[in-house]
Amino acid sequence: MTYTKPLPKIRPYTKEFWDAAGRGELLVQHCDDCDRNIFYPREVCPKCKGRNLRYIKASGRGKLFTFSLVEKGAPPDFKEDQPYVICLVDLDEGVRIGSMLVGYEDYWALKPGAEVEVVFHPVTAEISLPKFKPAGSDFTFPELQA
Amino acid sequence: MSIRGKVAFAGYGDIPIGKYPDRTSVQQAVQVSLMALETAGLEPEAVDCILTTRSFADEIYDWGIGLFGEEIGMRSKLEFQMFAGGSSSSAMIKVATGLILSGQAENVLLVASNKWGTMKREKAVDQLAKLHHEDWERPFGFFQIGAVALMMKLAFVYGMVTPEQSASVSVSNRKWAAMNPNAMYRDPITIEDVLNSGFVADPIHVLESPPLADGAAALVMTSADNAARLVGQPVYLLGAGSSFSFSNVSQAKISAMEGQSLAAQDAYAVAGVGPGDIDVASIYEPYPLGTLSWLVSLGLRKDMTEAGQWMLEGGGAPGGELPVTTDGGMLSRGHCAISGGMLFAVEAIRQLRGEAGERQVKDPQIALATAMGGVGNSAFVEILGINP
Ligand SMILES: [Zn+2]
Repeated sequence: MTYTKPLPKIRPYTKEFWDAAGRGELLVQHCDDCDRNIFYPREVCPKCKGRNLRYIKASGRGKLFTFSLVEKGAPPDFKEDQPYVICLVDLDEGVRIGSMLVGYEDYWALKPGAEVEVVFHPVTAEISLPKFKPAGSDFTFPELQA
Repeated sequence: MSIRGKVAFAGYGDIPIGKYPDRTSVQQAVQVSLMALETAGLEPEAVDCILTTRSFADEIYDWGIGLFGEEIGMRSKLEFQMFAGGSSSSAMIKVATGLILSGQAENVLLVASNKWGTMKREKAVDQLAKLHHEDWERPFGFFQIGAVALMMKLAFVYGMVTPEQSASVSVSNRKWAAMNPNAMYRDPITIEDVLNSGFVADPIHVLESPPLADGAAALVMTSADNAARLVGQPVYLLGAGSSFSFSNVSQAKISAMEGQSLAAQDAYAVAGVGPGDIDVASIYEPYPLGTLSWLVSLGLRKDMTEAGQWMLEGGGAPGGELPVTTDGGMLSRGHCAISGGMLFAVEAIRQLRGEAGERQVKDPQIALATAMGGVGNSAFVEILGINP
């Protein structure tokens, strides 16, 4: 079945990110000018305005900063997924990423600070979306049908 | 140079808010513009500058160049669109102030008109989703209320507010809306109604999110001297402040509430007044916690807990200590997009002119209006008064 939800555009400076995601690796940017990690990826460091940015491999682990169960308000493309959980995760690399939380057992037992880890959702041949699940969960997404 | 008291609102215009499929965005805009000119005692020909913004509904509205001058039968020196989400109208007020004080415009018409009520709900929600980054938020199911919910969730998790306190804001707004003939929803609701209405996105219940509406609003701004000649009682702009905090919620260096505080401090400093001087607070509040955080950031309450308890006890309701959002606000008067933001200024002006009918606050001297854009990305405060 064709994936019809919004897809990220692959840009010259994000192709490496999405290629890695396809291999199951989460990358974040690192600025060699000010030695800071950056997410989301961009072409100029928002801190020092430096342009010497490269990708580094992230651990894929982090802590839930906040989360919300979407019951009735989803945009049209995500209606069929309700209820689903959106979240902000503070990665161990010191950057914050917006994503979806999957593989949880009891939404109402979730707490900020809970340990989570990345799980990739292959949605097209080019794009695997980095989503998050409680650390240690054995949740996985099905592989793409060829 | 301080702007305090140097420009004034000479007129205002609005129309009933709700679902009006027979009204186009252009017709709505013309109607409120003519009302604003009438309440300002101005002929259309006297307007030399028109500031508009997006309708999101009609192509001719969003693409027509010089359309409003043509529609109301005048030829301006300057007409253009501005956009900063729900705070567009506040940004327009700042630009109009600058144009007037620098002698580049004399009488400025500000107009906003939107059609979220009769547009298909999916289309409106889809439009709002465009506020979110197309690579890093939208593919993950982010949308406007969801992103706001992510931030508001923390206030509940950390015990700053209770669900009842939050719900009481919707109840208070509805009490005011009952006295506003232009409001979309006017029947009383209870805290139980709110808490039983289901979650749009936890922790925001359906009755804690704004009904999308058709609506329009207009303002006429001019110099303080002009306004005094035109109308008996001009409403002076005493101060204005603003702050942009973030665009994508994952990138927030400061919170929406800190942004509100910066805007409030800015506005109070220019106006030379403080929280204790405010007689009416017209607070932009698509969600109850927005009202509570504004009450704190405006210095009107100590913290979120106290603000929540104060609202629960009717502090901002009719007959309460300080009238808050006296037109019913986004939650009951209806969220008509950018024009919904301008209506907070319209209500403050109407109260100060003593023209608010059944919901008129007794002899207010100083009122404030606030606005926000996006998911709390921007915060604006205007302080208005009847003495320059
Ligand atoms: Zn840098």
